[in-house]
Amino acid sequence: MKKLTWLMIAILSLSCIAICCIDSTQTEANAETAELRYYDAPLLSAASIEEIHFTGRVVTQRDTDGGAPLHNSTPGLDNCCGPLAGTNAVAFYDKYYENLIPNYSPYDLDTGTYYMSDYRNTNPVLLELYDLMKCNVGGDGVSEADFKNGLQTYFNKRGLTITYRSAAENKQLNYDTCVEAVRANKVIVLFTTPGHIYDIAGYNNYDVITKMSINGNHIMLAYGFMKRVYYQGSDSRKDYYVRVATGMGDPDNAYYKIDSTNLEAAYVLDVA
Amino acid sequence: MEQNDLHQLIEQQAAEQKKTLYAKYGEEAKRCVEENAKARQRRKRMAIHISALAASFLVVAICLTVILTVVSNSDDIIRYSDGEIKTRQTATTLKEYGEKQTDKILYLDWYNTVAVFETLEGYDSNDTVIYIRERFSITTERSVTLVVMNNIYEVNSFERYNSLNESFELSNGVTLTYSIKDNNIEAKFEYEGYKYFLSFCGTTDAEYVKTTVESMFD
Repeated sequence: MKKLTWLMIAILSLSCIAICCIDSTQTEANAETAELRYYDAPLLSAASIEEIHFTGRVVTQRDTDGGAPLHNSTPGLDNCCGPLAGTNAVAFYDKYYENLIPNYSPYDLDTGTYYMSDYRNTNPVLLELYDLMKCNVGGDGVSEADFKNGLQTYFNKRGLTITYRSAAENKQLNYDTCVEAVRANKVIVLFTTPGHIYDIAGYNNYDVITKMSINGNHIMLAYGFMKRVYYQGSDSRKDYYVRVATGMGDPDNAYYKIDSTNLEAAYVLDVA
Repeated sequence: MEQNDLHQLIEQQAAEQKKTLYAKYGEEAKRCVEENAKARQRRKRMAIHISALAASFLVVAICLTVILTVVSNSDDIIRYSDGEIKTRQTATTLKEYGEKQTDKILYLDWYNTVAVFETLEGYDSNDTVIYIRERFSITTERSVTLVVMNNIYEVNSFERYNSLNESFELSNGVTLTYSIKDNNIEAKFEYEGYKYFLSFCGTTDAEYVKTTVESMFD
């Protein structure tokens, strides 16, 4: 009788453990299938600093004409990387499609180069996108669908449409697509999970590459490409980047590495 | 009846009865007394040990308190790690912010000469303003960003300014450190209790940086 009791207790315990395991697996599965959201992601200072010494260096780089706006602040709103990236996109295309931002030119009329940021005149855009993208509705920040639909609506209201053309294959950024887009003066929107951006300081015979961590899911715009080839004797090394408007205040010159493994999606913004 | 009470009980009796009782229970009472004495000695030793231990802890605690107090007082810096500081837009310019302070705060007086400028406050979870950041956008290709922060604060994201590789002495004796990168210059100086971090985008002209910083002291 005693043995039977212990046997029953053992069976009951194992059953409870099994149920708990199944439940946690199901919870994880549910979490994985839930749509990713993109929000305020603190930029952490140097995850690592690398010095690359070389005997020769060849840099090929180009930005969209006049660069791109680098808006990075909000009037007290949180989790705004989506609306900020959208504001940068709107301000960028205002140069080519007049009155995307009414009564304001986000670029210097004489030189055609963009002002780095000017929240006094672009806050209305940010606030409208905040609503259209349903920022902080149903969760922190925005989902990819929220961002795309919200930005599309902004352009639609002004008689334009956006086509989101994929710039990634198997979550890997396609460098050639980015090069083609930049040369055609189009920006690329990047959806990323926690990862890194790079600050690059080039000196006479060495580069200092500061790798900085973005500690959350994030949306940013790419507006330039760069290939850096280093030669040291018979050895060489090639690094490929896109230049990004991170939506953060610092650093001003930020790059995203093409071979990063934290890309969820990337789209060229074709506006017509 | 407890054994240690036996001796006391006998002692409480009259003299004649004491004699009888000791005769009868003498050995036991004697043992009682001895055990009581040993127990008292054990208690006494334990008390000494406990007192010594407590005293030691007290000494260590006092020493640690003193050391930590001295260290923290001599350091007196409030450090913020990444992510602890948020930024927000403010309509108050750095010049206006400085006019409200008792300390002298330097600024770039470009408000009427540059097309676009914006001012942000960096603040902590207690809503305390840790730094003011002012950016003058000439264009994306040319801009100057100035961050002013009281020396009592340190923020991780400005640590790279501690390893700038050139230095220059301004006309008033203030040391300006700077590094020339691909297409920008970062610079830093300290003046009357404040740190000034500058980022000049779109230029590698160190003379321009020196002239600009000198103008802040005019």
